[in-house]
Amino acid sequence: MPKKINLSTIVAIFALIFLYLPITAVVGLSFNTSSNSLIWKGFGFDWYKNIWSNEAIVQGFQRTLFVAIVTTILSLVIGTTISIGLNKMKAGGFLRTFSTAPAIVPDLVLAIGLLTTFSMFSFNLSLLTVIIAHTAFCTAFVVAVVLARIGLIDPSIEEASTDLGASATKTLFKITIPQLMPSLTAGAVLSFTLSMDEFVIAFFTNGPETPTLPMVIYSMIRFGVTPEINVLGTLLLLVSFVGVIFAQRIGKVADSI
Amino acid sequence: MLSVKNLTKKFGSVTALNNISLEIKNNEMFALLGPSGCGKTTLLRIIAGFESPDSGEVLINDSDLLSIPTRIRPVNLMFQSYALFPHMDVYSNIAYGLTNTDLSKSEIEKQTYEIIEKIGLIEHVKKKPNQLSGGQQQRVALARAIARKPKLLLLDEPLSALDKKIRQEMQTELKRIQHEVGITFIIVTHDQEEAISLANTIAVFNKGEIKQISTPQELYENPQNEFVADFIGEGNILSAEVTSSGVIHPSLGSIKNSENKMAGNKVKLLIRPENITLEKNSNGSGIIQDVVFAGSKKNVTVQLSSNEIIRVYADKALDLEVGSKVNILFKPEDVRLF
Repeated sequence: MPKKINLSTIVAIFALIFLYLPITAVVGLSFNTSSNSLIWKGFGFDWYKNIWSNEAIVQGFQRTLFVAIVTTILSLVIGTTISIGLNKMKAGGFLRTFSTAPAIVPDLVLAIGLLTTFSMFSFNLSLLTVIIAHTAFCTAFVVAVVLARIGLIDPSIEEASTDLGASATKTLFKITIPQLMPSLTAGAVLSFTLSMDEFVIAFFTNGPETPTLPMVIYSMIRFGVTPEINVLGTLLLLVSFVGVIFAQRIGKVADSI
Repeated sequence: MLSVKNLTKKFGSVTALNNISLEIKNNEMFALLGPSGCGKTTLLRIIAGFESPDSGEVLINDSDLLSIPTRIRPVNLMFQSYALFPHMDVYSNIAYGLTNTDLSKSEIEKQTYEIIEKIGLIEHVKKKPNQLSGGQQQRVALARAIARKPKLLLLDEPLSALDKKIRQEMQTELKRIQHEVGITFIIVTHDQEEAISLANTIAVFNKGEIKQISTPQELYENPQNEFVADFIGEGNILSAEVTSSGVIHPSLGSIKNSENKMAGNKVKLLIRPENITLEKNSNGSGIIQDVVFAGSKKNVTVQLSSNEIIRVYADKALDLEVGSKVNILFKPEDVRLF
């Protein structure tokens, strides 16, 4: 019997092409040896080597990495604390929604709000303000992920730890956090990748002397798409990809516990 | 060993415990028995230290228990859900309580293995809780709870999560371990069979109050009120009226007023199904509604002329037909009045 191809299959295939064509273009063209990214001259890793001599890119990359790492740590600590607190006080939907809202508030609104707040307290815009800004919305993602899991933990497990003589701190680190591990990993990967390629909020809250990588790319792109940009895009993609795979691995290991 | 005095606890407008007092002797298997929501779990959680009462006191060996922080109370709890630590293996679960003491590492290991051997878990030490059967998980929970050598062990519905076969095995096992370690056990359960088979003394709870504290046999044979009569074992509870010539039931006739109830009052009487004999009689006061063969006996349902339904365990040799009339016979001393 010949395989029937129905309309939904066709739509699905087109949708996939539509989704992945731009990504394929970026990755493919990053291997172009030509200095004009749209004219194919040959396959090579030339730009992968050249890119490291561009100081603006290297520094931008370092700043982005720094911001992403600090943001991830801060969001994890704050987000987990909020989740544990909300769970303990059996907070209702209102508080829960409020603590996850920054994740869905439009970036632009958040960016303007943060900028206003920083100027109100006459903060100098710098990487520090970017970190604060990123932590604000990444925390919301961590809360969303951790809160979903923490409710599933049997509350008697923490009571058992207390009953067996453990201090509150020991219970937190030996009992509660190990059980939250899968969602903490997911929250960390989310925060890291979101912060890595975040542009709008960084653009508003960063000082002029310390552009992050997306801001560097933005200023480069005004003169046309260069192969360097394709290389950067591919590298960012790789980082996110590795992050997601890593998270899945950890998640699987943790779920088997 | 444990004295509970005038304990009261309210949750909002709900009174979970209403002026509860009881005494538990050393080395006893004591059961708190009652339907769900009767307050027994609240009492357990107060003793364990997860709730505090509104008023009243709890003394352990004559010293105040409630002022001791939960962490260092000489009391441990075996949770209904077992609450094993899912990310730790059997050994670490059992050793956990000892790691919160000043004991040296080698001493912890020695004591943990002693318990593991006592409970019969030696081949499972490296396994995680989800690799164990329900019965094994319960053993781990029990081992973990006695590892700190508490003076008092609280067990919350210890057998409810097990299937019937393992249940009987664990009943014996719990008794053996209690005997061996010499710890006083308090068992909370809604299951009267569980309480009767495990405990030496049972406190029957209802609606935040203690209805009776006695041995299982005493509760069955001499219930002090209708609630206990109904809750423990199977019983026929019938309505009767007290007159000057005795207690009169419309179908069963005159019954001795053993409790000296005041004339003119309505009373309830209890007769257990095994204490009734049926006798075929075309003028009898009961009509047989149903007969179920149950191995050693027949479970018979009889409708009285008062429209009350009673259950009788009849001799299996007795030939009983549905619809035929019977006389209801019993000894006066087998009747309890409330």
